[in-house]
Amino acid sequence: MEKKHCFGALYEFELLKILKNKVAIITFLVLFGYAFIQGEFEVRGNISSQELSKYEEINGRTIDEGLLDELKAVSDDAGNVTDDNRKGYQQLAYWIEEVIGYRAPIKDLDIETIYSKRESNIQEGYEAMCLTPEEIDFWKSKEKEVSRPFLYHDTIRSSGILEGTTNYMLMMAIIIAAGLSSIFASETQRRTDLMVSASINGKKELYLAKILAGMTYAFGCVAVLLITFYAYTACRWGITGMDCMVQSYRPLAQMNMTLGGLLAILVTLLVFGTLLIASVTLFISNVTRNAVATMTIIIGMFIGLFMAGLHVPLKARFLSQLLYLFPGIQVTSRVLYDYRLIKIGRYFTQYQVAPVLYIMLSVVFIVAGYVFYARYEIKNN
Amino acid sequence: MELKIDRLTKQYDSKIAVDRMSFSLEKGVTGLLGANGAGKTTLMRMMVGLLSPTSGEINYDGIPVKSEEYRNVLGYLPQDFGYYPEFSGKEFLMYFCALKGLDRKAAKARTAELLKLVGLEDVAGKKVKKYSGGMKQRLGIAQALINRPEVLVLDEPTAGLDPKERVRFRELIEKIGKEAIVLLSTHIVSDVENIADRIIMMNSGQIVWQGTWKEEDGSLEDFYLKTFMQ
Repeated sequence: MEKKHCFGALYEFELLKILKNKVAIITFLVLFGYAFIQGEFEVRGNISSQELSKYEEINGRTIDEGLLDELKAVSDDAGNVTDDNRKGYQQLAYWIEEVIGYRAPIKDLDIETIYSKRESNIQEGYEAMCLTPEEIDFWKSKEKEVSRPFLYHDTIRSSGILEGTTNYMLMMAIIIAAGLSSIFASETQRRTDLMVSASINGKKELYLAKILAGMTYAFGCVAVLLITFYAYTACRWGITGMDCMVQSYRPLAQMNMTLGGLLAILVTLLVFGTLLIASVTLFISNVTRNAVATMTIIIGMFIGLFMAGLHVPLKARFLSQLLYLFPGIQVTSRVLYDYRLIKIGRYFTQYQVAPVLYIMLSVVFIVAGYVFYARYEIKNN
Repeated sequence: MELKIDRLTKQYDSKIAVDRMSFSLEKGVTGLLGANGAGKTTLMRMMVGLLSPTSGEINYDGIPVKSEEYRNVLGYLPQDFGYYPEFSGKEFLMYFCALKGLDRKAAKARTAELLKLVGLEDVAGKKVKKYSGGMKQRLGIAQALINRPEVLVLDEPTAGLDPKERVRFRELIEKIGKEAIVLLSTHIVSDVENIADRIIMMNSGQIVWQGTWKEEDGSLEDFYLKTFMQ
C-alpha cells in the first residue's frame, strides 16, 4: 500500500481529542466566564460610569506647581480630599503618594521636591537591583526621552484593563495544564499507544500533529479570552486612557511609552509565554506519560517559580533576574520598573529579551520532546 | 512473503521472556498457543517493532521490523488495547486510517467497508465508550485490517467475542490468511484448531512444539494439555 502523508487529518483528530476532553472544556468555560467578571468588576473598580466624570476633572493637566497648589487647597495635610466632587484631586494625591511615600504630608511640598524624590527613588531602585554604571547610563538616556513635567491622567479604567491582562498568564497555565496534559499521557494511560506506534504515521507526523493541535488550542484559548475581556470592556466602559503616558500609572517608569504600548507589550509576553508553557506541558506529558502528574508539575512549577521570583533577594542578581524572566512575573506591570538589562551586543530590557527566550526554549522543548518520543518504547505489560 | 525470526531473545533483568526463538512464517494462518505468561505477547510486540529484542533479528522479506516500510504492510491488534472514549466508531477508524496513511477519500470508503465487515455499521456514529466489550474488540479487528496488511498480528483477538462473533471472526481470518501472513495468539485451542495452517506452542519463552495439525491427529486440545502437563 502506498503511504500518504495525512498530517491534516491527524491534526484535526488530535484537536478533536482535546476539544472532547471534558476537563479542558470545563476549565475553559469557567475561565471564559471569568473574562466577563473581570470585564465587569476589575475594570469598573468601585466606580460607576456616572461617577467617572468626577475623576476626569484634571485629566490632561500638567503636574506642576499650579496643580499642586489646587490639590493643597482641596485636601488636608495628608492629601485627603473630602469633597466628593473633586475625586480627580484625590487620584492625584495617590499618584504623589506613590512617589513621596504613603501618608507623607503634602502641605509644604513643592513640585521640584516631587520630581527629585522620584529621581532618588529610581536611584534607590538602581542600587537595589545592583545595576552597572552602563545600565544606569542606559536608563538615564531613556529618562531624557520622557517629556516633563508629566501630564496627569486618571488610570481608573486603563489600570483595570492592564491588571486584568496580567491575570491571564496564570489562567493560561491552568487552561494549558487542563487541556494539554493528556495529549501524550492518555495514549499510554488508555493503552492506545500500542496500535498507534505500530502504524506508519505513528511517529514524526503524529508528534507534529499533536504539537500543532496543542498550540492551536492554547493560542485559540488565549485569543478568545483576551478578545472577550477587551470586547466586553470596550462595550461596557470604553477603552479609555490608553494614549496617556505610563508615568500616570507607574511614576517610577522610565520609558517614553503610552499605556497602549504597555498593553501591547503585556499581550506579546502573554502570547509567547503561552507558547512556552504549552511547549513545557507537552514535553512533560510526553516524558511522564501521566496526565495528573503533568498537571501537578505545571501548576506547581508556575506557583513555585512565581513565588521564588518575588522572594529571591534582588542582591542575588543573576538568580533574581533569571526568575523575573519567568512568564508569570514578566506579564505584570513589573516590566516597567525592572531596570536590569541584558547585554547581547547592546543592552536590551527584560521584556525585549523574554519573547525571544520563550521562542528559543519552546523550540528546545519541542525538539527534545521529539527525540524522546521517537525513542519511546512500549513497556511490556 | 516471509517473516523470519532468528535467535530472538528478550530478557528483563533476570527473567527471560523469549529465549532464542527461531522460525519463519509464510502466507497462511499460524496459531500461537501458550498459557498466560508463556511469552506470546512479548514475542508479538517484538514482531511488530514495538519492543526491541535483547538479541536476535526479525525481518520481513529482508525489511527490518522497526522500519516504516514494514509498518506500511503491518496490521496489529494488541491484547487489552485502549480506545478514545469520546470518538465514535467511525471517527476511531478514520483516525487510524490517517495513521496508516490513507487519504480522506480512501479512508471514508475503507471505514465504511470495515464497519460493515465487522458488523458495526449501524452503530458507527455511537461513541466507543458506549460499545460492549465484543463491539470494541470488533472495532480493534477492523483497525488492524485498514491497510489490507500483508502481515497481520493478532494478540488474543477473540477475547470478549460471543460464540457467533467467534465463528464470523474465524471465517474472516481464514479468508485473510489466503493472501497474508497471519499470526494469531490465543490460549483457547478451539480458536485456531480449524483455521490454522500451522501451530506453534510456546512455554517459558521457548517453542515446545510446532507443526501442522490434521484432523486425523486427534484432538489438538488434548495434545496441548498433554504438552503443557509434561
